[in-house]
Amino acid sequence: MKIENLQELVSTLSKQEIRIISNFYKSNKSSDYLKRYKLFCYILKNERCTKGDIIRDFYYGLYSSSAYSHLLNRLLRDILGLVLVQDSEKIVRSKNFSASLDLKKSLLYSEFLYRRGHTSLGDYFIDQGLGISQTFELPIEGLVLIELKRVRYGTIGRKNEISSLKFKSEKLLEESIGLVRSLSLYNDFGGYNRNQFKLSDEDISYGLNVIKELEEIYKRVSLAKNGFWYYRSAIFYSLQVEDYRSLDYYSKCLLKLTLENPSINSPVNVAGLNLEISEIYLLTKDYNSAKENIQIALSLFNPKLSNYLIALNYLFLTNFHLGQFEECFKIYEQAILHPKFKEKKDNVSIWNYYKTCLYFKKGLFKEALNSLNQDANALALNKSELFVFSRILYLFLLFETNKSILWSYELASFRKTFPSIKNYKIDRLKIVFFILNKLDKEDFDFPYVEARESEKFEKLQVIPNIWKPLGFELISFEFWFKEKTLAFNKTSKQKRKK
Amino acid sequence: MLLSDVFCHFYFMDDLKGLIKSLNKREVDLVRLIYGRNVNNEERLRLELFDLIRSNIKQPGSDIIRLFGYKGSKSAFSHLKTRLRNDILNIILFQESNKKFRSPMFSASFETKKKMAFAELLYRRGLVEIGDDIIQEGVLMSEKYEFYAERYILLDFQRVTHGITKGGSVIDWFNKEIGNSIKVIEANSKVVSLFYSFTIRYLGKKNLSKEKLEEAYLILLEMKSIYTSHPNPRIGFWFHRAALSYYSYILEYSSAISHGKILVELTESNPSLYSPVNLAGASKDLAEICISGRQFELAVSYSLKALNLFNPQLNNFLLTLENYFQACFLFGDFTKANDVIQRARIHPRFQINKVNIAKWDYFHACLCFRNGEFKMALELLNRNHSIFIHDKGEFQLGYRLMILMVYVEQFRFDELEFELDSFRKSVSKLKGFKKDRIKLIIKILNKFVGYGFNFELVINKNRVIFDSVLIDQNLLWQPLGFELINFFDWIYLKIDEN
Repeated sequence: MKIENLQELVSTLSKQEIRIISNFYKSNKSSDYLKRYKLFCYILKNERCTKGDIIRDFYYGLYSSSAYSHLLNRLLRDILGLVLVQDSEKIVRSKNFSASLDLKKSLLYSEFLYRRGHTSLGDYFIDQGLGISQTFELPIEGLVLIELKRVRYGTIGRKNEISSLKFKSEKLLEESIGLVRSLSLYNDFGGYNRNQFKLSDEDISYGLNVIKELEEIYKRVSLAKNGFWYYRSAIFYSLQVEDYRSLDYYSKCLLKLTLENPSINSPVNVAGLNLEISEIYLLTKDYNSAKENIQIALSLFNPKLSNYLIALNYLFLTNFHLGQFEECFKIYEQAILHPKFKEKKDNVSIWNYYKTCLYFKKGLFKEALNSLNQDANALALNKSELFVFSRILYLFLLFETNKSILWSYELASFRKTFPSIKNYKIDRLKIVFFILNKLDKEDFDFPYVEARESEKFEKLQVIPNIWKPLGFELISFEFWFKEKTLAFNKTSKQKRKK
Repeated sequence: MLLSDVFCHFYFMDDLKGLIKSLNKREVDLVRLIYGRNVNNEERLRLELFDLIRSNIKQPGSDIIRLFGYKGSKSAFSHLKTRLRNDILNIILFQESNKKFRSPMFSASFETKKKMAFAELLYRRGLVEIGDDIIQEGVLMSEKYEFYAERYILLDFQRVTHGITKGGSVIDWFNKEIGNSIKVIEANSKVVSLFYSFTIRYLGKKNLSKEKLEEAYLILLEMKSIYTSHPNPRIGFWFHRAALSYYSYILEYSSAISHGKILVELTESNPSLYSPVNLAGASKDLAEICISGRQFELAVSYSLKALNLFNPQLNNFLLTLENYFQACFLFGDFTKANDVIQRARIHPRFQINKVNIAKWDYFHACLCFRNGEFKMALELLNRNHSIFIHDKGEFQLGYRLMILMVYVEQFRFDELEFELDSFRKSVSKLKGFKKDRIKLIIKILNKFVGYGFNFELVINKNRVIFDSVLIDQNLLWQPLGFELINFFDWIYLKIDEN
């Protein structure tokens, strides 16, 4: 374990927790405890202390790596143990999570009490734990409790109870298997990657089977959690096939289910759901409503966790499409300082690209070009949707900075990368590429190309080629082209006047 | 207030008293310390109640309630007690736990559950890296000790957390591993259910029909097939336990002994099964089977093994002393058998139960009988006359038969005739076991009286009976039944003496 981990933990402690830990150490006079207390106070005072600092101040040069790691580990376990001494609702803010923690405590209490011979109290905690596992749909924990009870009753020969426990055990097992299957199906269908890529036609038809199976599991094992994965997958599917009516229907079902069931009604889930609804609004270009939902999500997510960063991403896109660029800059600053920002390599590229788009929109083309070049190598390595649109943005920038002489070369090299582009349907890209190529050939005569390729432009207005506000095409090709056509016409008029 | 409410009140108070009584000095100090530094009124009340219970630990619960003189509502008082109890448990549980359990397996089970609570706490606070370390430790521990449900729970934390950020193959790996865990959990749960239905519905009953025995055998085969497809020691444990019971039920002791040996070996060599109590239990079971299978020397060594592992203060140890005595006695080591009796008589649990005293007096009487001390044997038997004759099982038969055998040895034939008649009546009244052999014994003794107390004549005229008790399954001598000394062997011995 690293000292940074311990620092991170100490930084999350409440005043009450710090007091409990301090009191605990103050009551222990042994040198081992005093050393741990000294380290605890040291970390509290020096938030950014390093391993070197500790070796210098605690071991006076006589450093032993095992003693050091032992000290850190002991302190870690003391802190965790003492934090858990409090009531669960004081430890985690969500009712759902505090119930889950209470259930873990029930498991510990009952096992401990059984082993110490306090069987009636042990039974009490088993029943309490089973109640929690039922309300919050945690069947596997329930199963552990049942097995504990079953072995105890088996030992003392309580035949009737053993039979009834057998049925409970079977039910809990079926629920656990159902949940595992639901979640696996959801994952298989790309549930966790929904923000990253678009599915192929083959995947979409597989998705339909997945949804059918999820629906069947939900009907058979009617846990709200199964419903949760079913509706989420259905939403994902509807999103992929751009069936916005179904999307709206499933989202409403999911919201209702979430709000009605304590097992899934957690701030994180409600927040996630708001984020999902905001996605629908974004897709239907109702940016103000999307913004409202994202704000709700942000108020419910833990600001230090990855979900919050994802919500910031959505908020950035919404504001960008609303034209609120100053707000976008603020969101950008917030995102790059987020504790989870560096955990994922792509984040640097994504947010750097966002910043480039902002510069572009503000007319700061030189800055935009610099910004885009900073990350060019990383983007070239990972030929994703982000790479595609950063290349297109680069072409726009070459035009804007009067370097359109480089277009033909850039277009040719861009074209070569098409076969290696991952997780992106390139139908729209092919059309865009065709028009860009035409522009180059026609010496950037925008009105002429528009008139000549009207059919292509029409194609860009139909599903699935239509521009979407979600994804990395922040600056819509059609919008840019229209802007340039207007500018071209204006310049031609002025030339003619002259 | 209803009577049941009053009862619950006191009952709960007694549980709380029991818990407080079991605290060591350090734990008491810790409870006082945690409360002592807080200013909350409710917590101060909990401390007052804690101190009051400690200083009046020998008083009945009702007196403590009266002394506390709580003026709030009944539910508030109940709440206060619940909080106090939970605080005590938290304090005990979340401190260092390696000294809480003698067995590494129990300690590991407890530690794994503790890691689940730690992981929950860390993840909910966004401390993923340190949470991962704890989970990794927990997963390794759960694999070593076969806590598959705990493994599932720990991996599930990671699946949800890392799934969001990493996706793809990472999620697939988690799904696969969790899926594997659930398969083992399912197999284990199934085998436990089969074991209980096997022992309760079949082997728990006497005189099973041939059809029922076949059904039991099919269950055994099902357990074997589960073990073959999931060769985990825990599953093997249940299968071999069932096989041991089945083969001893059908009196195939050589098969029962070989399953018993595997069971001991499995328990000894697998951390997931090993605990001194489990190994002692498996050794004790095997010792019993060895006695029934007439492998007395082996029975001596396994019962001794069990004695070395059980806590010498507890009842299990005393029960194993019974097997050890039987094994030594039947092996012919009467000196050791006598030592065992002396050891049993000074055991702390010996005096608790009158039946227990009578049972050991019976053993002692058998030993005296073997040593030719008939007067002493009779004295020991008569000492517990009222207990023996009120027994509704084989214990009474053993006692009565031993009296008859002593009368024969002492040539007290009038008393023999009288006692034989009352023996016959008592056999007809007793129910629930096979009576074929005891009926033959009565028949032989009647003939003995009829033939003028000449055993040789009895044997010569009843050769069929004497042959059948050696070959007929229903008539075979059961060393663990009512007849510690084989009646027919004794008759042959009498003839040899003459």
